[in-house]
Amino acid sequence: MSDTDKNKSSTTKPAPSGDKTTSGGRRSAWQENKPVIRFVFLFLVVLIILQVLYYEFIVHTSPFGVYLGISGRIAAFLLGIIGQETTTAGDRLTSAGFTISIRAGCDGLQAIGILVTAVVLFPSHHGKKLAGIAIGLVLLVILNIIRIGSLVWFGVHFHALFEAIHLHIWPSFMTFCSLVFFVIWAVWVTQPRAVASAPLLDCSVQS
Amino acid sequence: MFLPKPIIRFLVLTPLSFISLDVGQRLLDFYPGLFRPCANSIFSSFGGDRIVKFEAFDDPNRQFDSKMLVGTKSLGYKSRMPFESIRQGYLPTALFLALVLATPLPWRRKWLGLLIGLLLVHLFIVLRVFFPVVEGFTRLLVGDKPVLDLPPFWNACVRRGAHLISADLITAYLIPVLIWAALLLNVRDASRMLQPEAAKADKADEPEPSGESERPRKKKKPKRK
Repeated sequence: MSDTDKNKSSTTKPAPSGDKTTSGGRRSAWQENKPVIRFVFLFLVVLIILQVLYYEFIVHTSPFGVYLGISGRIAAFLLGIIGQETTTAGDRLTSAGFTISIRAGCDGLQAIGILVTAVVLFPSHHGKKLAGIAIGLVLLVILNIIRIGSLVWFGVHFHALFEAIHLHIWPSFMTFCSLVFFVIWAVWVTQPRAVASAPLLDCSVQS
Repeated sequence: MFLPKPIIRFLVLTPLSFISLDVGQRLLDFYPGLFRPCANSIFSSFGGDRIVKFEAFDDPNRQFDSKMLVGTKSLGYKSRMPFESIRQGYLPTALFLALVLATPLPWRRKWLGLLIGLLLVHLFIVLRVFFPVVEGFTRLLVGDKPVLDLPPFWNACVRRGAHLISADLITAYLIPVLIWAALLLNVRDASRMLQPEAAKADKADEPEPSGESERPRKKKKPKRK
């Protein structure tokens, strides 16, 4: 074997198995994007199923009505704390002559569904997924109760802004918060493990 | 645990850009005037005798900016439905633009995703208009028959599609996010955004790509004194 051939064989490294590379040694854009596209596709499929289940079944069940009633009562309680006396009757809240009815879409379950779907599909440890879902669920339920209370407050004090806040601001904010929680959780689960650096001991044997 | 700077920057810039685009439209009010002619050109004729038209609507409650008229050529426009072009068209577009603007990638990587994404977002907007139009025809009766008579299964699909794709408030914001993620994020970029320190360390540890070591280095010519 000539010197140049020896040089070539020593510097040429075989591509790792399973790593599909182009002839130039770089992964194609499709291979780079494939896991994300797969995640997005599965996310969409699962979300469509959840949305159909939500509108066809969940919103017609009695636990759903109970959940709305409890959310309304807690929102009324919080409004009472800030001096906005509010009465509840089922899913209706009334304050200073202004009444809202908590309906499907104002329950936060869709935002919770977004978070749960994203967490479940993201590759990570099951325990961390459960933690993400549990914490995210609590935070989004709290946020939804704040939404209900704020809608009553704006309906009483700034009625002109009520529709914009009800139909534009809160739905976008709930979706945004759901995605923010997911991103924060993803940062947490992808953190590299801190390797405890033990002090280097001098173990040389001295004879 | 602190969020990496690229993530914080992205999470701050996205809503700021979105709010700016929303406020810009509210001040200049340009979008409904663009939306209606485009919608009219796409949906003016809906096969057979069916016709659709989008007109301006001065809503006293200021919730809707347009009205959608459906009917037939023989009978004229018989049904009028309020329509909000901002929510159906502008907000998904603005959100996608905000996401692209805020993504911490060089523009040479973003511009193609922006163009393809805008196309996909507008296909989504066409769907958001399509379903209410079809639903309008299935509800408009001529005599005792609807203008568009569909089998019960397809009727149910149209109603569900109109609800999920056009009326649902969350869908308008979620689909642009998914389009953005599919077009502009890859695993490497996502890793860099989520864990930039680890990504820098991995890059430093990476061996030189084999292709470069094979390329013969150009010999530098010595400088002449």
